[in-house]
Amino acid sequence: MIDFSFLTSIFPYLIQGLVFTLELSIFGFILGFFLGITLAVLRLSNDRLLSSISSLYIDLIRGTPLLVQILIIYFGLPSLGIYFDPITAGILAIGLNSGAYQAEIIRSGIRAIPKENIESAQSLGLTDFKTYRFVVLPLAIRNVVPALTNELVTLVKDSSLISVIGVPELTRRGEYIIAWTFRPFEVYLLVALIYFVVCYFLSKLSAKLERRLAIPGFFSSKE
Amino acid sequence: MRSMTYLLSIKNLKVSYSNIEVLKGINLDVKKGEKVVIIGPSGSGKSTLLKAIDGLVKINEGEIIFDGVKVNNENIIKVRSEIGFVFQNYTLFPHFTLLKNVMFPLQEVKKLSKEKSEKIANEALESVGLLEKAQSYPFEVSGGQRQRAAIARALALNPKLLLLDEPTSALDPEFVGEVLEILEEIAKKGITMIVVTHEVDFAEDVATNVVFIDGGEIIEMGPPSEVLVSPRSERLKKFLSRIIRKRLVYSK
Ligand SMILES: Nc1ncnc2c1ncn2[C@@H]1O[C@H](COP(=O)(O)OP(=O)(O)OP(=O)(O)O)[C@@H](O)[C@H]1O
Ligand SMILES: [Mg+2]
Repeated sequence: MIDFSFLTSIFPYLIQGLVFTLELSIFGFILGFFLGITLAVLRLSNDRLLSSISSLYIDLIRGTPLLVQILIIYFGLPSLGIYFDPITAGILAIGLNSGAYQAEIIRSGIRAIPKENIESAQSLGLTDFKTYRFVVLPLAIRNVVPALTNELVTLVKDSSLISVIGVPELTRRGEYIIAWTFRPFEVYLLVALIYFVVCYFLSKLSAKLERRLAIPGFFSSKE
Repeated sequence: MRSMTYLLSIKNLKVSYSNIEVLKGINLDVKKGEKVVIIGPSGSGKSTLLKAIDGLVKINEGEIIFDGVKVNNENIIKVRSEIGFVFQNYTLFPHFTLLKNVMFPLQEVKKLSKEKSEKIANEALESVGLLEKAQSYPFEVSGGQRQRAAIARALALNPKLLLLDEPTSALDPEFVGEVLEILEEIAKKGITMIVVTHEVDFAEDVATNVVFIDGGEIIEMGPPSEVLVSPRSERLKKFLSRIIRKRLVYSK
């Protein structure tokens, strides 16, 4: 029933789409990472105004669908005179969205740091910036490596939504092939399989990264 | 300029955590070279007092004068760089080796070169007997070694004042001695220190002044020969009999 020679013939075309998928999700993730750090730090700051701006942003993003956010950026902003090409709009939408989720992840990582570690950094006479840069963020991020890679996996899957604004990523290319061949079952299955392999590979990488970043001696001393 | 004669002068210090006042007007003067031991029941405000001295908690009322200057938001970073602080636990950064822990503030706060910092850090670790552990991470060494390294880090910065908050109370009993020994050693070298501890022997040997805090107030204060030997208040008598009883139980 499944025609393997057909699948092999469309495979290279789909893999070219995977390149866009990875580009959208990885650059989106990186943008979201720096945005997330900024939002998390602002959210925990003593400045009421900055903290509530950060909370508001996080709530707005998490309370609205990514698809609608994508449509606003690509189709809505041009009416304000702001235009993006589809890939830039896609990366921006994913980054701005993921930033809110990553902010919450990083915030939980910061809260898990023993208070004395932070006070100890301050007590040395480090500025707030250096306290964050050298102590708080490195420890916080170590605490949440699994949650952050999980977020990257989510982005790889969610980037399929970017197909609606015409970026020829994996899902979109699948749709093209179906339009030409009328074989949705096999094509969508292959598309799903490619997503699965990538996500599987990423979670394996996550476990490696986690081991690599683990605080030496920390777990063995607890056992 | 009365305050100039003191390294540290705390005047009517009040601190609250969300409307609950935990320090209710502390007055304390510390001369250069003095060793102050603070004792008091759990929750009496001992840690809060040390943190207030280092600007780690918000002060509601009163003032702290350190080395002749009133501590405020503008000079707090400088003041902190002149005060060493060792906590009960987690003073060291767990993602840095012991060497890096000691070097890091020399480079980032004192702005010394990498070579200079490394040299000072190695000497500091050697002085607490940890040179061969320089490349280990904090959780790869014993609790006692961790505290010794934390003390080395504080001393490497050449502080005018050293604050220690129960430096031995998180330790397994077998490691307490080695840490107290090092503290006695550095006390002899003339550094000014304020130590929160319930090690009565240490207080008797080292303290120039013992301060008893209860309920956010200083109840008694004076040389160990008075405060520890002939306490005047009921509260202190009760407190001392409790910790001495505990000690007898432990040493059995
Ligand atoms: N961050 C905080 N927020 C709210 N309350 C706090 C905070 N830190 C301490 N407290 C409260 O303030 C009081 C004084 O605490 P502090 O830690 O100074 O006592 P302590 O004398 O050091 O006690 P211990 O011997 O248990 O260390 C306690 O009642 C404590 O519960
Ligand atoms: Mg305490």
